[in-house]
Amino acid sequence: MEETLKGTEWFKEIFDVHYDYIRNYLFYLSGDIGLAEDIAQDVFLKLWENKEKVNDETIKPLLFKIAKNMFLNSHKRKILDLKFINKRSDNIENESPQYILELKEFDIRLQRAISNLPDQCRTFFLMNRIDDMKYQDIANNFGISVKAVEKQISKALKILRGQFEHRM
Amino acid sequence: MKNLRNINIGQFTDSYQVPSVLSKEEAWKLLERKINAEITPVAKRKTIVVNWKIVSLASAAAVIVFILWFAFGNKQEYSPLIHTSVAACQTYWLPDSSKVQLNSNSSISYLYNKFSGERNVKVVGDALFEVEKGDNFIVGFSGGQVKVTGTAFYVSAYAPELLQVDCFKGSVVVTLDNQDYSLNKGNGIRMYKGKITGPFKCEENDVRERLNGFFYWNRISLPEIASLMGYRFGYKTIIDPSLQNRNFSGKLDLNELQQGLLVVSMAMDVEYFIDEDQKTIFLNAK
Repeated sequence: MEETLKGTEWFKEIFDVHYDYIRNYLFYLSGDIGLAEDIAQDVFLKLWENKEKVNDETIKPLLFKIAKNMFLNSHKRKILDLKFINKRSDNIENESPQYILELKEFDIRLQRAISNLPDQCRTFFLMNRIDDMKYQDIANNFGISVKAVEKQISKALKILRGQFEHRM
Repeated sequence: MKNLRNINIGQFTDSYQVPSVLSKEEAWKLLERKINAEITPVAKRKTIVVNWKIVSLASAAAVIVFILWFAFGNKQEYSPLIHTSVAACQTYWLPDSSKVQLNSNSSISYLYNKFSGERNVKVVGDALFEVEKGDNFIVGFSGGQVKVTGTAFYVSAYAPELLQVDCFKGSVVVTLDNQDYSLNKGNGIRMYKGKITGPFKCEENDVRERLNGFFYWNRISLPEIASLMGYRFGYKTIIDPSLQNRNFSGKLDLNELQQGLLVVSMAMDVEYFIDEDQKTIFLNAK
């Protein structure tokens, strides 16, 4: 069968560029990596089914939109328990046992506090910190202003700092 | 000795990594297998290109019907009808210097009451009003009205079943279904099939973006969105009852009907079909 211009090569390129962002975003929403990977598969399948109709320039916002709606329409909101891998843990061998213990406790409390942030605050904050997405990039992909993104991320930091400043 | 007090929460979070069950390569292989095996076969969608001649004729017919109604059914002397065609947006200045920006497929007519000083506008469709201060300014539409003195607000009133008012300057009194609601700056209210939602928060920029064809929604039911899309382009919408409780969130570019329907169909996993003869959009569950 003759392959169209938007064949598997095109699709692989799109997947390589965007998969991590979409999978991570779904993880930030759901707190369940298995679920996030399942929905990410469905999101890309949806794109494949409609590949001839989509505009290459707006694929990333479209993928985020599909991901968000697929998640919201199929899963009820629940209490999140985000569990990240902390790369910092590998580099603390030379620290005192007391410090290592405190750091680990802090890490657990921080991950719990992030899980409890409001949805938009949490996802924008994590996209900025973990996925290195600039405010402008987040704003473009979610169809909102840079100021709105800035506001959400500042809110997240304010909530987190508020929870830790008296205890550290 | 290091102290946790020196830790910056933002920087600490930078060292977080999202866990994974599948590596990226494994995820691609799985996806590739699904594509090749056609686990999810593409449903054939009949897509019909929008015939703009028919759309224009329908709009013209709607205008004529509206004008006839004004000429014979309404004794008040409103100004001649001002109408924007499908996908157009135009700005008009009313005699009192109030500004009206009419969105796609929308109409207004104006009446100034010399005795009471009251300013009356009738609207069908979407319009943004920036009202000059003065006597009462009343925007009437089928199913309700908005009463203000001097303020800025957006009215969406294509049909009595689907009404929305967003206020982003001053305050307004909205009457929906014979009930009065007071809206302050940054608040909106919506009525769909008799059910009132709000007041809810609204951002001026988001509201103004509608004039450029961009609509931002947060968990709005699919039938509401589909109906608005239909009205903007002069189509009826028929929606599968199983989709009544499906909600859409996100920004939609509604400058082209096909593009808007495509995004919604992909995001919501639904099928659409446009019947050009009946000027009807059908939305069905997959």
